[in-house]
Amino acid sequence: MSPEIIQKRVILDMDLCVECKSCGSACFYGHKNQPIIHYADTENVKVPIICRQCLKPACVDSCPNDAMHQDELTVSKRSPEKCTACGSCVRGCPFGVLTDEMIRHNVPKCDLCEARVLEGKEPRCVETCPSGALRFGEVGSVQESKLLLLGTRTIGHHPLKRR
Amino acid sequence: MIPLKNKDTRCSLCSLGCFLRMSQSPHGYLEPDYRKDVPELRRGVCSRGNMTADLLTHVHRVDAARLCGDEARAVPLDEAIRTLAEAIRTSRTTLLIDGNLPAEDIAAGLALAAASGGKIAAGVYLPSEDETVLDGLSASRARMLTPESIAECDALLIVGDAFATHPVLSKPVHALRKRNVRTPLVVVDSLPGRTSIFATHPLLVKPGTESRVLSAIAAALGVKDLGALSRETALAAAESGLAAGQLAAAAAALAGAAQLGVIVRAEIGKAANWDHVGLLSGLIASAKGGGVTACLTYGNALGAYRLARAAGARTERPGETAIVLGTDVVSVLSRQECERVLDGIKTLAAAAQLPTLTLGAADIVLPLAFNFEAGGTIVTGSGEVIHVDSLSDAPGEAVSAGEIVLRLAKVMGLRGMERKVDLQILERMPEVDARAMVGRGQPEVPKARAGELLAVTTSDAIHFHTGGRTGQCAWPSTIAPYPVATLNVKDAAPLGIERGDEVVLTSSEGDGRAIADVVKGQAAGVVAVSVGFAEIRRLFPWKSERRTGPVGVKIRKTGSET
Repeated sequence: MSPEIIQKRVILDMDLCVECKSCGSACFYGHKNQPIIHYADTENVKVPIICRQCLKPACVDSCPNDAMHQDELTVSKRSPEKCTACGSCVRGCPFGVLTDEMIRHNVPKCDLCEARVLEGKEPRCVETCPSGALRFGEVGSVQESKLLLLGTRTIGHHPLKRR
Repeated sequence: MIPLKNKDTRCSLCSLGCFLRMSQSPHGYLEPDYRKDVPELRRGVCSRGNMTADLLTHVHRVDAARLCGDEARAVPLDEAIRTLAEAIRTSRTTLLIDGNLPAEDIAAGLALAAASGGKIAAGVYLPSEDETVLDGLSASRARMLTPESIAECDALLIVGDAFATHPVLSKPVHALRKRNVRTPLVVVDSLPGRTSIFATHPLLVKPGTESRVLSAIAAALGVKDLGALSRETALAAAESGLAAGQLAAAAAALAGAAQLGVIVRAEIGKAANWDHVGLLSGLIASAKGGGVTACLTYGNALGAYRLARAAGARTERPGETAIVLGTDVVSVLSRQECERVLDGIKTLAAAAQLPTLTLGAADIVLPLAFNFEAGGTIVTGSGEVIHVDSLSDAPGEAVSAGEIVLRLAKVMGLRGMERKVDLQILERMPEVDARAMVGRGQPEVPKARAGELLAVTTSDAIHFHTGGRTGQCAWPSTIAPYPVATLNVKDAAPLGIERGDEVVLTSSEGDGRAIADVVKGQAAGVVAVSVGFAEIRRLFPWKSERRTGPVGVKIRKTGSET
């Protein structure tokens, strides 16, 4: 791992996810009882929506109080002391990771378990995942992995429906 | 700060016995962590396992004894035990021991009953579905499979929604699929659950017909002497709502296996005869050189079952004094049955780790340690005898159930008792008569009466029900605080029910409220309800009758008259 930047991200292999919500539970208890991971609630599937840790994060750009910020390792985080729960980041996030429901908790935000990652461990959600659906890997390697093969089984007419 | 004694242990919140690590931050917080020194296929912890630290440090822990007369008062544990011993001296007593407790505690309770000279009758509480499926598996004499060895099979048969309640089992199944994406994976379930979406042959059967389908598969695989259980493929397919070709194709896919792995998840509200399902699953696995893994609700269900069988423990009717160690018996009985049972009891002593409905009805409250505190031996659903190490000291005066029993024995003048267990009993498969089981034949296919839908259950790793241990933790309360009833669009429309409506479900056993989810994929005539909630569990008949099948329910929108 480069000391300047955390290259890896949390990747979800939808063809392995059994919707057990263990990731949400691990994240909750690892972040002092803050509900950070929530779940897509469609008729077909309930998979976790985990922060993509964008390199140019819209949540940071939209925050009027600099509560959302990106640190030197490119991890976007929230400073609870500065957050006024205005909801700008919720509206700014194009991926639905931050939700209105989180406002009452001053928008808890995935920090990629930065302290653990710097110790050489993986984020809690990845380590707890009992099905192996969550991985901590470099985004560029995804296309070279089996994920692509399994991913082709995700059918087209509904992006969240599997078979 | 609770001192951390041993940071590695095995989880005993379900029958898989996962590897668990607990770490302690410099500020004293306990946090679950994850072990890298275990087989890759056993890494990770489910949502329940992650709640271990929450349970150990729960703000509502019962840490002192109480006597609850006209005015409840905290007393030293020994005084509470002396009061209990006095009640036992003057009346017939029943001791009910939770099957989740370590084997040492269960053995101590059974030994107390044996030494009491008939004053105490002991029983071990297990959910009906766990007990009956273990009857069937024992009768089949099938080999038990560890979760890791599932990945070495060349075909799999899964009965029920194993991934919903035991998600850790998905990893070896995925490993098998990854090795060969065409590996046959047959899933028999009455709902399109989280397991069947991965199946090569999903057999979505009518509720309560699982054993018919298994009988047909068993016959196709050459299992003989099924007697009254036997079913032709065409008949079984017709009874279970499958196409004959679909069932035949699934059986043919399994026929080519040299080592067939079978996973059985017994669930209340699905099959009415889990003993037959267990028996047939075992026979099918044995016929194809494989074995069975049981996904049981209780962490030490297999150990408790074997101990109870060896001791011949059975409680037909509770005595005037009842001692309940661990289990929340009030929440799992139907209302009528609960009132009948409680009316006959003059003194109820209950031991628990967290507040429960049983504790609320108790005259004597005893503080109980978690397995993670007391330590002890459990038997996993794969038949492995493992030790749960103590992670930390129990708070206050909380002690193990075995310690409560030993102190009680001492006050009663019974000497020479110890908190220990005979490992040979835990490793031995009990003798169960398969012929008698076969002789009962297939039960009738459950049918809803006019104006009713057939209610089956959906499960989760978390037990949300009132008094449920994991349901009292912080995380579950943030994610799913209400039960859901899932209906087909065609069933919901005439009742005027839409997604998000609150509905009332009424069965012959009781009623409960849920939020409606209306979907196209749900089988017509069937309503799927979340079983983790006490109000929903009460729709189903419970322990005393050993009936576990689906029930007919009337359903209406809240506020409507009919």
